Amino acid sequence: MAQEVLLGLFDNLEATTAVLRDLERQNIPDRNIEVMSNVPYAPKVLGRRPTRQWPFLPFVLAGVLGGLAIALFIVVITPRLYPIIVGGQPLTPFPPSAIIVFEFVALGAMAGGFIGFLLQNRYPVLVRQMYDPRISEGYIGVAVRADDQAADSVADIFAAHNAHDVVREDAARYPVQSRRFLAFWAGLAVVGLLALLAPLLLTYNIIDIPWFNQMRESPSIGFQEGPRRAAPAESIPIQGPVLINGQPATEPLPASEESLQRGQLLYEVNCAICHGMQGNADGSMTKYFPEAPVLTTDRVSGMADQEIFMIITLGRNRMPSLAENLTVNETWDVVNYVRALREAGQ
Amino acid sequence: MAENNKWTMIVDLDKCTGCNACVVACHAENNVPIANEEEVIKGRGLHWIRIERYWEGEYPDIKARFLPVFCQQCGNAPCEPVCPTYASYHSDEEGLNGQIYARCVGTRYCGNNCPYKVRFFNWRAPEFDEPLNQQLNPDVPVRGAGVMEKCTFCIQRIQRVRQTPEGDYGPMTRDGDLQTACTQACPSDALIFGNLNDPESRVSRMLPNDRQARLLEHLGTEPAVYYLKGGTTNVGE
Amino acid sequence: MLESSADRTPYWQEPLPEDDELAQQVAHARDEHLLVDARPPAETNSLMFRAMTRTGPLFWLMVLGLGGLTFALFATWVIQMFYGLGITGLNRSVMWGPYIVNLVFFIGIGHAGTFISAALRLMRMDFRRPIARLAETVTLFGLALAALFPLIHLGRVWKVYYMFPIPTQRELWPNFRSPLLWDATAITAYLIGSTLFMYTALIPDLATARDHLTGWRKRLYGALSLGFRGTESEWSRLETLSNILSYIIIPVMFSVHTIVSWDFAMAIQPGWHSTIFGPFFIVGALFSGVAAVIIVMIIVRKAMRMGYFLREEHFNAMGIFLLILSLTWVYFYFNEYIVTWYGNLPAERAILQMLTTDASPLFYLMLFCNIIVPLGTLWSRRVRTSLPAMLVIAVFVQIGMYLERVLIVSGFLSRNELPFNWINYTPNWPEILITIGTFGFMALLYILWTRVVPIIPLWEVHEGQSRQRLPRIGRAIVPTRTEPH
Repeated sequence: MAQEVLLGLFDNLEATTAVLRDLERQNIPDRNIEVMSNVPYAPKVLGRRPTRQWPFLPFVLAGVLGGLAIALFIVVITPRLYPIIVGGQPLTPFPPSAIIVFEFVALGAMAGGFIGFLLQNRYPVLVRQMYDPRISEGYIGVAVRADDQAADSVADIFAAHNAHDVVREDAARYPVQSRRFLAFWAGLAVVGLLALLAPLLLTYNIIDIPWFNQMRESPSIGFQEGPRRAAPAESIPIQGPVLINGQPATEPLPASEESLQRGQLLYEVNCAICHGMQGNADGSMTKYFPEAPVLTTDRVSGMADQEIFMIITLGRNRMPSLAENLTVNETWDVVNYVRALREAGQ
Repeated sequence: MAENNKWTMIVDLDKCTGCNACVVACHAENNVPIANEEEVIKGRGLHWIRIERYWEGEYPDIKARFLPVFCQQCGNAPCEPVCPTYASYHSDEEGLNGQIYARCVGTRYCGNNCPYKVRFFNWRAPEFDEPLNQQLNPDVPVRGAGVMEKCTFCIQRIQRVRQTPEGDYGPMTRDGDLQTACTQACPSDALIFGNLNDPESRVSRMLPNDRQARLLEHLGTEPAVYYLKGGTTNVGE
Repeated sequence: MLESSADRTPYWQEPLPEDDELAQQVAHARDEHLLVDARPPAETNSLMFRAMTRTGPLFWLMVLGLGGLTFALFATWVIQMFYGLGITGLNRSVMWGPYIVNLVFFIGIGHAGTFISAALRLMRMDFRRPIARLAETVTLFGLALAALFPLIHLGRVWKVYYMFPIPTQRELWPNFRSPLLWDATAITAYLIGSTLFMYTALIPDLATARDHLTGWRKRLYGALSLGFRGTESEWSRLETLSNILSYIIIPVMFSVHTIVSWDFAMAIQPGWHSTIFGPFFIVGALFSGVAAVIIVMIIVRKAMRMGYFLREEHFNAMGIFLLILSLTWVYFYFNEYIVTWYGNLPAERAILQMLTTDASPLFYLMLFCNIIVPLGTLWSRRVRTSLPAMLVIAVFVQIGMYLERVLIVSGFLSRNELPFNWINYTPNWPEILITIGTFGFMALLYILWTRVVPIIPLWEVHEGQSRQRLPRIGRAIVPTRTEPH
């Protein structure tokens, strides 16, 4: 037996309730009857059984728990991922945490309730529905799903109560809303999740938007970013070692204890990596620069102070210039220390 | 074994002549941009250390009072918790109130919440025309537009002596290891800088002092800067 | 009881009493009260939809003008990003200026919307019915624009994601101990909550629009109404959801402006560090918010010819509301003032002196707008029901409340603990342009919104009309309301 769907339109509440009473007498099951109106009528008003009571609770609770989880993650876990002390406050102080928890729980409850509303109503409706635009003009629609035989008596009931209009169609044209709406929301959730993840491309610098104002482009010149500009011709004071005719312009520093201490410090930073801590050419870089000379030999001690100064300042063979690393006085300190190495070795 | 420092500055107001040498030294050391005349008129003078000058009395019986004010490195800093991005935070290792420029997004809340008004905002991108950029201290980042900055007690100098190559903190720092740029420049020895955790340091020996006071101490910010001021000694007398 | 004869006819065709005098009283009641003046829904629907689809040259001229202001807003913002905040008049002491004032102001006007629709809904106040959506729209756009200002205010807005709780390469999460992030969280919660609240109440009207309009609008509303048909279960769920959202969104609304006030109250800036700021700001927000809704009601009634829906009784009710809020505001302001004055702390004394010297024009104008104008006029029903008078009063209240925020933000900041740092603040052109531009943007969004969404909740009005009766008590016709619960 084919199913049919009937829609009767009534312009007042009295006729509607009478129709509903008659349908009940005809043993049409309650779930096959739908009443549609432009304003809410409580089931009591229509003389129908009230709808189920607490369907929203699980959704709201789920929202509350979700919001609570986010809030606790923010106030308890994130400060501990990289603990930073501010203003003598504990990492998770109570009052600010209470605020965050309240806001997220409230947001979660509202979102949960709304999602519950959408899912309970099976929105969005993606199938054809029995409906008539006149309902939003104030007519009350009673839609009944019944088999052929019952449909005739339903039509009679509608007519008996002066239905404004009756629509009668094959039920096959009005399929029951399937689970397609769930697929819709799942798809939307995936799109939304992707949209939420998209900013990570920026925060992880996978997409680097060039911006005119980046602090990493500093106007200052770093230690490694030579060469420095030459000083203007008349400028004083002179910076760095100035060489006249290949000779240093300054006098050696006396090999005082202070000078040797400074020299040792600078030597260990700048020279020992190749020439070794005791000048024995056993520094860690000698496997790449095996030609680095031992500094305690007669050849070195026979050199003039100025010559050692020039080698340090200008570099020689594969030894780089250290002019950028050492000031004039520091260079003399190193010269003094290099001389002292031989004495220390003996 | 890392030991914590507690950096402290003593400002002897009886010795301060208001010469502003510290201000200049600070500008040079910390790449502090120079606000031009127009900006200063708008109330955007930018000096990490400023000499507040107060007049007392009416002309001709008038006295000038000088009060060098810079970041008080509060132990309980109001500027720290209000920052949403942790740009302003507390360093237990140094006992300092740190400022990380790169984290700053410029909400300026810290500036509002600082009772000493020693936090400065870069209203514009700083300009260092050639060849002025050559004199910038490479140890200190140049702050771009939209970033808060403040006195750091020359943290770059502290790091140079404190930090080991592994990035750990070395032993406690002692007098003579370093000076801030302003103490170095102060001709009248009015600024004394040192580690209060070192009982041998000059600041430890000078404190507590009969003449000591801290700025706006009633707010409970626990400043690390102590001002010394005798009852009768006044500049300008 | 006998069956009511009214139920045999549609609710909009209630027969007139046969007694002449009573019939006259009924006619009078219908003139006065929207809810007893039921007309066929088809008629009221098309009244709404005609206004919605009518876009004359004046409308497009308005769109053009307001679009120009909106352009000014964004152009100025781009210029400011490029040249830095130096182009504003802000200075070292007054680090927060009109941008934060605008934030507070726009969040403030966003408060009345939810209060009117959620709180009055739960209290079953019928006068809310035609106003609810107008007010919710003010909330929605007020909040959205307010959320723009923390961004405009930022020094480096391109690094704004440093403040979001999302994983970044820096492996550093934002500091939720900062009031600014409480604020961001609360605004987000409130914005999403009010959007859901508004959308829930919109679904039946979108369905009505789907049934009565054609072309692209039909497709749009068909999609947005999600297939709503008005079945019993749909209505009952809608009712439950609206109640749930109302109960939750009211505390959220209170929290939002309290937290905005905490942005100030948490700071130890003299004048700001006050425990009364939370409720004080909420009252201020409701005060300016109700005034904003009154302005919108007047404009919508005039421009969209909504005289049927928005009647004198509604302006009367809103006027009483405004009067009460003005009194409450005075009470809080006096509290705030006398505690500061009596405490007589040096820095706070300087602030009070500033109010009566340097800032005295603003201060006295604010008192005039917020106290003298509403309290001096709104006690009269004739004023409350006169549209021009209400418009003027509401505009005065807006000016007064704006000035109050100006004084609190940039005024109080100009005085602090160390007198060396006392600097007065004058706005420069970017702040002025951005502020004006935002008002333009707000108006633009609003008038476009009135053309895509039924700005009067038709179903709520119809619902009220279907439940209102005019029984006779003695010799008088007295409107009553039936609540079938």
